[in-house]
Amino acid sequence: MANAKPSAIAAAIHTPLAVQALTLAGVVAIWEFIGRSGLLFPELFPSLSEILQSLWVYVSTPVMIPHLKASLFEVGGAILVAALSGIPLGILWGSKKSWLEIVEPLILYAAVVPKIVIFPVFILFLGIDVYSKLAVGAIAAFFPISLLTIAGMREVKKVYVDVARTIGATPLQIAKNVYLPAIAGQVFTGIRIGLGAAVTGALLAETKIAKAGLGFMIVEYYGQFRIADMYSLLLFIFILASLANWAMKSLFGVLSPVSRKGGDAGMYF
Amino acid sequence: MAILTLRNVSKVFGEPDNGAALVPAVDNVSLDVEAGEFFSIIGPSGCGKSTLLRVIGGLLPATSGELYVGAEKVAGPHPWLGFVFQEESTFPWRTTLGNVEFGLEMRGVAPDERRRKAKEMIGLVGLSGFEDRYPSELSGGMKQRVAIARALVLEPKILLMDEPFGALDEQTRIILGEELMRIRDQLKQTIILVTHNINESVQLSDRVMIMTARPGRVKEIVAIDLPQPRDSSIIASDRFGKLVAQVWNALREESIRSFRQTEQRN
Repeated sequence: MANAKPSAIAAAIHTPLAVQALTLAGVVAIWEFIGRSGLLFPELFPSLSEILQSLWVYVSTPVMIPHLKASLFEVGGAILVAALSGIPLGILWGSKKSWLEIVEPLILYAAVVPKIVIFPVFILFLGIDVYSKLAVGAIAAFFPISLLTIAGMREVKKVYVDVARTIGATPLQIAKNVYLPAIAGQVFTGIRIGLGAAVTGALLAETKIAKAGLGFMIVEYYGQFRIADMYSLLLFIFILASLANWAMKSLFGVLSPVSRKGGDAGMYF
Repeated sequence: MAILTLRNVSKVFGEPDNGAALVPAVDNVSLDVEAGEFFSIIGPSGCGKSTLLRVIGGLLPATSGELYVGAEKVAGPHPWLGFVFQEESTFPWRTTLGNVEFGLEMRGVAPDERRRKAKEMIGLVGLSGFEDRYPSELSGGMKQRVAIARALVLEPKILLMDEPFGALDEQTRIILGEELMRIRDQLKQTIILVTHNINESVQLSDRVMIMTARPGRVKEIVAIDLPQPRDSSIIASDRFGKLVAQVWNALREESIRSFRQTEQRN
């Protein structure tokens, strides 16, 4: 009996969630220690209470609303444009082996180019307003979405179509009941990865030249040396991105409830 | 009257127009399958037996010859025909129940009705309790049972099976063969089975058709006079051994020929 309790605690600590929570608590504790002790550049390590206070201002007052609006418009528009172009093109390219042989190497090479380098071109054509950032986000999200749609088309085995044909399904029924569900999982994954890419692209572009946006405000705070505000805004963005990712995952889980082993691998580029 | 009739059916691959080499796969096959019969087609690998089954199932057009289901001349998928494929064909995005309901859904059967029928068929193939599992959670043998149930739930007059147990191990194959016999007896199902496994063909069939090496022709049809109903213990009987030998005698020469063809190609 004497051994039961410690081993139960050990077992509880060995769950991934407990390790994650403990790591987070540890980082916060170290941060707070450095901030309060003044050991290391007190200006660069504002205390947690300061950061949270500033975060409360964003949530409870309209100060961040125009910037939030700008960023949401850019990211939302980027995902929409990328999905509306990437999914149909991915289906088209993935439907014929000969097309894929031509297109796939090109996309793979283009996919690794940092999209931010094209930003000046978009400023030339679209101005310094939200649309140039939307374009950077869209082009960043286009690649994962189109590539994963192609990957989804590869999962449509010929035998699935044969099964439907022998059953007497019409071409329309085959499109809706075989192709669509077969590629859905990969397309959803593509959209989720695309969301990350769109956020990165759009907010990065905002930090360069912009009139509004969350990325723009981070650089503003940095420029004014409002470090606590800057950190709290980073935290704010992190929370928003996590929420968006979680919402998408839940939505797609409802739409396509197939248990997918391998989880979120590939979510990190 | 035969439920399935083939008259001089041939299949040639390649189009004469674009100058590509023409490959004859099935040559001048005629046969009659009676209602309720278990009919096996066996032949050396690459002899065109799967091609023949795909022609019967309407997945490939015949180059020449005629195909009748009942008295009706057909070219294309026919509602009387069900098809079970060799490779894994269960839809990974549908549960067992969803897979079995698929055909009924496509044919516009009401939800209650199709649920009832699908559950009944899932019970018949021995998968009760696995209705809500996805294929990724099932073994190879179970997935093939799902595929069989998915075809049978549409009540086809003829079930076409293309090496359905080919990817399974020997023991699973024998057990599933025995279950197929049980299902067949229960439903009085006509079955046409393509296989390269001599034991399997003798264990299950009323008649075994032996095909020649490519291009596939009918070499011989052997009547399997083992008692019905049978279970897998039949494979220990003397008569079983004699029939296997008889099939192999007819097949041996063709297998050697097919083997040589393959060697030449490499």
